[in-house]
Amino acid sequence: MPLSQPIILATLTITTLIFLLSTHLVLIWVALELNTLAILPLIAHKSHPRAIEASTKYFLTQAMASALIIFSGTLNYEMTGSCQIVELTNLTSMIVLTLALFIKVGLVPFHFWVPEVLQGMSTTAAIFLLTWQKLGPLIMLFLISPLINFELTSVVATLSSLVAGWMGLNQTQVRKLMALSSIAQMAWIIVIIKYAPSLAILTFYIYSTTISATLLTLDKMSTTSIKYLIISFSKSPITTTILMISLLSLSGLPPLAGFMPKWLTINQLLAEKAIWIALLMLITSLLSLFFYLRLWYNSSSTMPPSTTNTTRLWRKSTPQSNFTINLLTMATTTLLLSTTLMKAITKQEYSLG
Amino acid sequence: MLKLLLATFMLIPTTPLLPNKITWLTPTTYSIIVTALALLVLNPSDIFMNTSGPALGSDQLSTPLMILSCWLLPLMLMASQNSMLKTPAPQNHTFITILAMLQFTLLMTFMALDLMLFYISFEATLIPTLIIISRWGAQADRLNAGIYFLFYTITSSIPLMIGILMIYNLKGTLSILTLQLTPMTGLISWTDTLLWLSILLAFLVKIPLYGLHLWLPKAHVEAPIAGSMVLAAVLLKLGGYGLLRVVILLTEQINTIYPPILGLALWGALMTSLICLRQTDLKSLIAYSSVSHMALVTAAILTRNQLTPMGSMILMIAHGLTSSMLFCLANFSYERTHTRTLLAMQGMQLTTPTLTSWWFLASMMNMALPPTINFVGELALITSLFNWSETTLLLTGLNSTITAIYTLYMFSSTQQGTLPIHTLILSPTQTREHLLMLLHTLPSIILITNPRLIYHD
Amino acid sequence: MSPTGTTFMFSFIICTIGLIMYHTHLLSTLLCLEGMMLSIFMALTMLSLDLHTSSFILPLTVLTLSACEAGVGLALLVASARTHNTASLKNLNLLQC
Repeated sequence: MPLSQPIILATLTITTLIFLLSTHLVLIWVALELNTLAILPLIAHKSHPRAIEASTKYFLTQAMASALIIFSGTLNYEMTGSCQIVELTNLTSMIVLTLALFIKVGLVPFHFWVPEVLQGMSTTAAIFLLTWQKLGPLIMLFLISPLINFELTSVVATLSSLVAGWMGLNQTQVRKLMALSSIAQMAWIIVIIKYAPSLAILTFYIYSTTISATLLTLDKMSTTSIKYLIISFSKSPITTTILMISLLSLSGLPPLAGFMPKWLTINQLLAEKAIWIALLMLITSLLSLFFYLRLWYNSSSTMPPSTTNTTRLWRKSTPQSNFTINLLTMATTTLLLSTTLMKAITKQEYSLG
Repeated sequence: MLKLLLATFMLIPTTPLLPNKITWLTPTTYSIIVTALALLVLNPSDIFMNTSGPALGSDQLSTPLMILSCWLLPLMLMASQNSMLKTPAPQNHTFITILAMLQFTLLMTFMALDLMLFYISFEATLIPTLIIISRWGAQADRLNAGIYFLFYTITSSIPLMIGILMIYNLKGTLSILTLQLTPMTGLISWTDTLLWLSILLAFLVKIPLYGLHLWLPKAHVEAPIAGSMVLAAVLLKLGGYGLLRVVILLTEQINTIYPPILGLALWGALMTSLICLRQTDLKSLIAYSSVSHMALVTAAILTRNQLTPMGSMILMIAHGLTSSMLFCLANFSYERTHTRTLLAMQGMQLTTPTLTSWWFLASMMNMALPPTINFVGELALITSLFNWSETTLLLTGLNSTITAIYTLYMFSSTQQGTLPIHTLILSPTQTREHLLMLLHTLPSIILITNPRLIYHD
Repeated sequence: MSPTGTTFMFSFIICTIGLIMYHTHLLSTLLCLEGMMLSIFMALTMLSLDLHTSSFILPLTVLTLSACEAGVGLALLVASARTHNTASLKNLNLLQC
């Protein structure tokens, strides 16, 4: 593994660069394929039944999605003679490509693989899967955003937000919860990608920062299930506080950075007269708020001298927060303060002028 | 403005750095100084907005509430000292820091001139309050109470956010000052009624309206003393303040949505007073009595009478001080008897006779006896309701009577009667407690001499 | 659409349905996947002939990558046979909960 790791990381980087730079569908497809093949060793890092199962499931869904992508490219090539992704004018290939990308990022009708794959892999690899691996499909969606059907994206987005929140209500595995939260966040990205693609990318950046901070903290505390969170505050108060802030930011409560994409998205949706979509997105996001709140309760509201029912795991080392986590958490909290003030002030200037 | 905001904000980093010995002393002194600074903002002859920059400012609607929330912070710190005695020092630091954060967000809410900034700060008060309730509450049920609190308020504020952003898309501005000058024209369809209803809903839950009030008794019962005090004194007033701000912006055409809400509020005032009569839990009784008092404010604000802003401001300030005082008194009894059941804490007059005089004073203020400012506020509100419709006098009069009955019931059942056996040996009262009571009553007594300080017509 | 194009499209769709619906053995799933890729390869080759572009780089790239994919799929087949003692898709149920 030590020798192959640089190669794997280099492949992941280069393929994502190809996404960023290329508009030719076959080239993008090659990058997608290489990306999938490169992440598989990271998932199946330990030859453990669960890791193998996760990598098999990931492989099958991703291979199918990329086959659909190349299929839509071939169809468009046959109909229009163009292989450029921005010239995807054939309606069938457009819809097939959109659906394939939804499979890739794990949106609702095709979301079943995300929790299961995440459950089978290590938390650090999960950060890769939830942030870096979604960049490619999102850039493809960004490129085809003027052609996307808004009805399709809005229905998929509201469904994703609803189903992810719903599935999280009785979930006790932390990594599965994070996967579901990723589905719900993807919904916020998808719903706006038609009208304000740059806003969708901004949402993705903020989401990536926040979920990286959350997962790094969870990894530090070696938490796999909610019940281990109960003792986390007595083990490491600072790390748990960071976890609390990141979770609140993920849930999008106002003073934190997670609120900003929601605010701007709702504003944009209302400008496009999609009031009911906005309302549905906000109300279904309450479901995810509920499971964030449960994580939060378990990690911090039951600290000593209140008694808990969980025994302390002495064999695990005491986690220390490190520089990366602190930096990421700072990014999730301070962002909104500056932007809020800036927004408030600029808006006033417009109204007065 | 900024001297208040920054001074309060710097309390947040100051507190964790304090040595353990002065954990309580320094924040209390500091917040008293901030309160003294806040009094400078009070300038009742100035009926215009006192702005600092385009986003922050205060006028006579927000200044008294700002001062009230500043006033409450040292009182909360004093009241929590005894119950936080046994917790470790870092947790005391965290507790005070979170109170300071709550104070900061409250000040931001009252100062915000931009509706979106107002919304953000309004929501930002939720997190510190949630932490206070769900972390420092006494029983396991506190987690449930926290969920109730959070989900009631957030669910109702989602329509508020959409409404605010719709106003932004319609008008291009969210400044309260500009919106007052440019009335909404051409808004008479049912969607606009829906828009205004969605804007009102968040405040009606916060204040709370009867039927949307279930989170409040739960949160009050489970919260620690500081949480109960700030909930009753300031957080409920956020709803009244928001209603006062928004009602000015509403168009005259949309009058159809008021009467049902108004009727429900009056009916709710009566119902919650009746609920008070059959309460067994002291804190729950006080919580329901605040629902009843605030329902009167809701009803009066929705009539949009000339007298309403004055009456509702005076009643909100008076009720803020009174209910906070009652919660403190309930907490004193709770710290001695370790129960909130009225039956198990009767006859307190025999053990702590000095507290009985405070109880008496607080009860008189709660039932709005004539010289108090509670009376001035209630009188103005009942007058404005009477002006709107004569029949409301039936409900408001009955409500005042029942208020007097349940207040006397509360007073007599806690203070008089025979002592239960387990309460024979109780600790005597402390100077801290008397100071706390004095700081609650002093402003209300001084304001009797000049209620125009709160609102100047 | 030309008859050849329609044929390849149908073969792709049939393989997709096979991949989606038949969860018996990992090998059959991999075969369906390979069928999908091969029909794409054939379609691209025919298209290159039809459009008279003398470049065959597109179909060859697709073929190469699909071969890589099949290799990885077989590796996963071996791995799951080693860890689960079988390669039946029904047995991949450790992570459902």
